[in-house]
Amino acid sequence: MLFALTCIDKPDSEALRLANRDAHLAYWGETGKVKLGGPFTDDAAEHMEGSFLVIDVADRAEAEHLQAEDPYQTAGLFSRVDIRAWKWLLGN
Amino acid sequence: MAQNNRLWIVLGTDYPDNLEKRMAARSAHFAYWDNQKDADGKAIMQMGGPVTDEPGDRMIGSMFLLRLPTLAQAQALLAEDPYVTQGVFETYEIRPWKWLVGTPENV
Repeated sequence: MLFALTCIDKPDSEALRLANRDAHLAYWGETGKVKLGGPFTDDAAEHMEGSFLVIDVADRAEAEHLQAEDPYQTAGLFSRVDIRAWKWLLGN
Repeated sequence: MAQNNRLWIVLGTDYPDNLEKRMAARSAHFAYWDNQKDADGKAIMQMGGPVTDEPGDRMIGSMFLLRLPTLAQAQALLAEDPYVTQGVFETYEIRPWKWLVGTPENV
């Protein structure tokens, strides 16, 4: 089933995000589970402030396990992670 | 990225045990967003669907993506969504987002 991951960076963490970005992109690419993804930005779209992904996994335990190993997570980037089961009805 | 291609993720969380109200407002919610088009006649809602419980059969919220130039416009449209006006969402958040992976051709 699909899970939407909303991950919000700690304040003023863009340097930490950029330092781990290649590893983050490679990690999720290797899982083969990502249906869509990209960064949250500030309102002016000048700075990245979080990550939003929809992943296709068996259950919440798998979603949590994959998220826990995200290089952004292990680097301590996020202040908040929210995982919600979701059904893609429109625009799929 | 062109200004008119700014994307906004909306995460709506229903009041607890609010499925009856959601079902009553659902067709109005669909019709409302069906009618929201940009100047070129393209839909403003790019994708969307319900947040569910883990068995996946009970709807408890919404996640959808809007394409609009400004946050103020996204806030104004959300304020008139039947899920807001009819008391389905207890809270919602709107966040600017860039679609990097899995982007469809038409976004």
